[in-house]
Amino acid sequence: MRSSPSRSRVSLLATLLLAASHLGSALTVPQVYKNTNLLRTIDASKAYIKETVAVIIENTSDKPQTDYYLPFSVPGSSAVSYVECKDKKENTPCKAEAVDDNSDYPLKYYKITLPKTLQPKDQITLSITAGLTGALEPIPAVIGQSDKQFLSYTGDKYVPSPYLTEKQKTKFRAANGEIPEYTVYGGKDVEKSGYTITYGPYDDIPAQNSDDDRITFTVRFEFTNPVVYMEKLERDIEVSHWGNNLAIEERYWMTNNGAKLRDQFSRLSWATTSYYNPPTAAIKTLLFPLRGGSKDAYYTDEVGNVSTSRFRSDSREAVLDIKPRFPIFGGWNYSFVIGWNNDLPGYLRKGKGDSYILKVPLLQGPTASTSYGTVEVRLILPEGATDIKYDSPVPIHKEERFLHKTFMDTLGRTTVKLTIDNMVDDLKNRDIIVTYNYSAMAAFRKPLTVLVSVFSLYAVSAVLGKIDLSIGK
Amino acid sequence: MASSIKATLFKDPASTESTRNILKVVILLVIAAVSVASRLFSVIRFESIIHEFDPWFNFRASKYLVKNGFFDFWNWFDDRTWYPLGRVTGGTLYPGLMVTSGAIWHFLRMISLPVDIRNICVLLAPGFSGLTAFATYLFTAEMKDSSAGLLAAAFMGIAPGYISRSVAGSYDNEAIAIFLLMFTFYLWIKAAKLGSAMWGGLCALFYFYMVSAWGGYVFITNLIPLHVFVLILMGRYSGRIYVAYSSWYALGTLASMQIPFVGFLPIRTSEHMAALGIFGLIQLVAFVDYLRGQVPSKHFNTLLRAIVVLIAVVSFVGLVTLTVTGVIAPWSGRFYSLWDTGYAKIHIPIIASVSEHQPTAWPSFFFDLNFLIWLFPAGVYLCFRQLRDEHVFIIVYAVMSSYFAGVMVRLMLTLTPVVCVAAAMAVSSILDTYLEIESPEEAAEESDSKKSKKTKEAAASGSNTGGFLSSKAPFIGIYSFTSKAAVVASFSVYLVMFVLHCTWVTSNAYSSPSVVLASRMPDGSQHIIDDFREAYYWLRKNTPYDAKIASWWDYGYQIGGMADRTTLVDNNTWNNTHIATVGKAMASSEEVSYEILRKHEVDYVLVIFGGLLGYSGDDINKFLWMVRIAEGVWPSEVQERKFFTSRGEYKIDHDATDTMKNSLMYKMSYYKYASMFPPGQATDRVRGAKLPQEGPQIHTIEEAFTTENWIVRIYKVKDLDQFGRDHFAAMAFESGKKRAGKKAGMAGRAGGKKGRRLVRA
Repeated sequence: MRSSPSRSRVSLLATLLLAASHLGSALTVPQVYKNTNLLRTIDASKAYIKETVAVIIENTSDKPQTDYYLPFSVPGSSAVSYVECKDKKENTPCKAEAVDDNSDYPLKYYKITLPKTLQPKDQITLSITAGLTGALEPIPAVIGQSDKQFLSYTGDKYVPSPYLTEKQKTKFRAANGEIPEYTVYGGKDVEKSGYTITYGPYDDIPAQNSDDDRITFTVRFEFTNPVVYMEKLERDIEVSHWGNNLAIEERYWMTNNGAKLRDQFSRLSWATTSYYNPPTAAIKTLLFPLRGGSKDAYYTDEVGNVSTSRFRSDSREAVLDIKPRFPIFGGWNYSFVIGWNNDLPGYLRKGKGDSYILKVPLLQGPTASTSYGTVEVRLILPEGATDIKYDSPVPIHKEERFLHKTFMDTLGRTTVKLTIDNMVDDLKNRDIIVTYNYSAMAAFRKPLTVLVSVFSLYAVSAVLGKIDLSIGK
Repeated sequence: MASSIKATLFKDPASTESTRNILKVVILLVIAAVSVASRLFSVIRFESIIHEFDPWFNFRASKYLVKNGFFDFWNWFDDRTWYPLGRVTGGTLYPGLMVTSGAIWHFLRMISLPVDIRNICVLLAPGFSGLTAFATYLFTAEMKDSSAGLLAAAFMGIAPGYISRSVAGSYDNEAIAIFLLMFTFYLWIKAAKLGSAMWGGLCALFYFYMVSAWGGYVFITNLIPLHVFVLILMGRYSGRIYVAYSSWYALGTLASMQIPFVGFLPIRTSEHMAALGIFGLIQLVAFVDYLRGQVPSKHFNTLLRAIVVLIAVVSFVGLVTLTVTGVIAPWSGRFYSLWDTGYAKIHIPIIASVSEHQPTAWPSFFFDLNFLIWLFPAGVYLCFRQLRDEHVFIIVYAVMSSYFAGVMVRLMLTLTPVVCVAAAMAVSSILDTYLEIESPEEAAEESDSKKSKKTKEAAASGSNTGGFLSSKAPFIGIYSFTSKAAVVASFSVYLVMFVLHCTWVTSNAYSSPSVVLASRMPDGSQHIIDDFREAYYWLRKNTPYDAKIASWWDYGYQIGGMADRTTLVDNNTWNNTHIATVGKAMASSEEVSYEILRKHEVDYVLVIFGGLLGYSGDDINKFLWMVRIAEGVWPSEVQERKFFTSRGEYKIDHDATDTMKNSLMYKMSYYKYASMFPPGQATDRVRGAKLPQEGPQIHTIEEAFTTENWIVRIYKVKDLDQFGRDHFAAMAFESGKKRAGKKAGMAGRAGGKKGRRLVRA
């Protein structure tokens, strides 16, 4: 899961750093910065953790610097889904890359390339956002059918920064004001107000070394929504020039990762309580906001059409509202398929010569906060499309190219399959831009094929009709 | 004016011929399109879904075929049904249907049209109904002429009797079998007419296809020999019959034995003996015929006749001896139930429990065939008028299938084609007579009295074109335009009403998938009740892959197809004892059932309960069949009488017997059901009965899932108690502890009394 793009370059760097390291296992970061002021916000209002670190850093060395390191702690089954960074004042993005350090210690280092070279004594304000999956654990792990669900988060009291931090504060934002348990250290450094628990401010925290004993805090809070987890999503984006259509089909394998049912499911209590629609940890409906102008939506699963869905669409927005066959309680599974069509002109532009530029959302998905195990996006371009290039809004973990043979194809349609592991829905509705060449010759391949096959059928039947097979007259 | 149009249109005989051919092709294509279209109601109204019960097995087998290939399919041993016995599926099914859809699937992939196998399966029956219409056209054209053929094709295309088994989604053997039946018959008529070994061979080939597709092939196996036998008795033996029959029988029987499920049946069972006997007889007759040609002596002929009779008697006695000694299997129970409709109810309740094996009610003839049913005798009468060899076939077919259709509802299917053919001949004769625009000219000179007499004759005689009788007769016809118009108009009305009736019946009676139920919302919009798939999908997604599900056999195929879980019994019903075991588990008290369920490693038990919604096809209504089937195997342990009240009523309310109330089926159906209603209001809407407020208690199983409208209820069989107690004691202890806080532990003792020892499996 913790793989990263452009691995070779980073691992080379990591190797060099490792060689310089005294510990041998973890990465040693040169002490060239200090964090003047740091504010960490841990947002647990969704079914995963969104951690934002806003930090003012100062170059304390005497050389200009470009690389800044920040680790995220990923104990147990949790993992970093994405890390993004920007210069907070000028709002310019910067690059964040995972460092491949192979250490057992649950810290995942990220190397952030500053948007501009930082001169000695200069400061810059960075805003670094990360999505962490698997960090929330339902406690109790099993609950009754109409009981409240609580999730628990355990994190570091101090940001595990490899640099000296002069001043830092952590804000934990729960999904709900109902917070029965949270760690109090004894001082006045912990404050709860509404949904938020604030730790700090703490002054002059030295660089956190990986062999230090971690001081952690735990917050257990009510989570009234289901913990939607898509084990796998297969998303097909099919471009048809002749049909002037962009068809999208999504196949989901869904699990509710919340607290499991203690007893068996009771329809009686489900039916009697459903009149006043209480909050529940079960997935009852899923709402898919689609782009305006979407049409012909469908919702099926492995045993056929599911009639409990509603779809409304106009030119500005479209919503597909689906209700699974049964409520999905913690630990239950469900799989389904949805799909819809769009008019192609809203997504495709003709470039120079034979080239075309396609701009489609890489990931859509339900409004409920969702994390994804594996997302496979297949871009199915017209038969005979060549020179495919794409610009993805999120790092792609694996890419495959092949020909997908379907209706009336002779060669097969050019297909690019992009795999992204461990994704969260913060990254949805971002467009991937694909350019490809598609010549007029390729466009006329299909009608010609049909024409030739019909004519040859006619010719063969005409010839066969003339043959006299009778014996003796 | 009409004649001038006719003259201009059909001036040139060659162009007339080609125009007619084009018209025929166009009409046949339109008929095929209509017959496909009228079967699509269910797809349009619901979705592309496999219907009912048996089609789910066929669909599952087809998926297996396209996934694993033909040879794996041929040797398929299915360990996910009939647990723990399994089923040698490859050797106990008619593979024709699956192989057909598999071949279509591969062909479409080859021309790069990758259609989903489900859609092929759903649309196979409508597709083949178009072909059936074409085969009926060919068959009827051999009987009368092509205009009768076109009528017959149209009738066949939309007759509800056939549509009932061939709507989209009704993916059953009959879907292709009726086409094969008609086409085999057509080839047989062609072979018998021409005396051609090629047509006989083709007939055998399609007979083989038929054998591979449907158990009803026995109908052909007996009908063709009967036809030949009747022809021989009528003294119409000819070389043509000999060639046709011998080539069909020899090739067809050898081919049919290649199907594993059929194997050596054609030479070992009584059902097939008629064909073998006629094969022997026709050799003798041919031999005698040859000798008579060589030696024209009267006495010799008498002697020969004696020999023939002797050999026939001897072989018949031999046949009986072989049957008695058991070399040839005696008639099967299903066969007896064809002659005695009460037989199945007494001896094989499992056959009698299927609704489509009941005797046909009279209204259903009219319902399924409309005006064809009263034209049918007229058509058969017309066959008697000409009585060529092929007409004898129609008569034999009509007599046999009329009888069988009266005995069993599902055999209406075999009656429908001959009714369509006969009715088309009748209608076509009437239209031939009354649509002749020209009035007879020679007759104009004759006197008025003669004229009217001739009119009557013509009306009765039907056909005046073709045929050896009419060719000798002078040109006769109808004189009065009014009578022509009246008859034609009334028949047009009948035809239009027929179309309306067919459409109405198809739409209302035969287009429900029965997997999903449709109801109306208060605002008139359609609401789909999808409880079956809700439950099956829950099983599919949220139980272990190797979970074993016990349910009544009706749902076995659906569980296999939709839930993809192992079942104990299914609609194949090959093992009566196993079905009786499940029946016994349902009909017995919890202690007995738990032992049975544990012994069969059952994880979940599934029941269908219609009480909340008023769905009448539920398990409580089928319950007596479970009891009867179980009683057939364990008469001392399960007794039907104990499920009736002292007044002989089948009750589920306060008056229900203790046996009924303690049966697992009753408990699973009504568990917690009364709590859905305000106190004292609990009603079972199917049986219209008020239920006791205190519902049944369950101990050895626990409710795992109940669907939205309570139609499907799934129970989990509890594991053995961790402390070695029986479940009654454990439950009593639990409830005692729970209530202790509120009510000072009274319940603990009260419940403890109920505890009984359980034998652990």
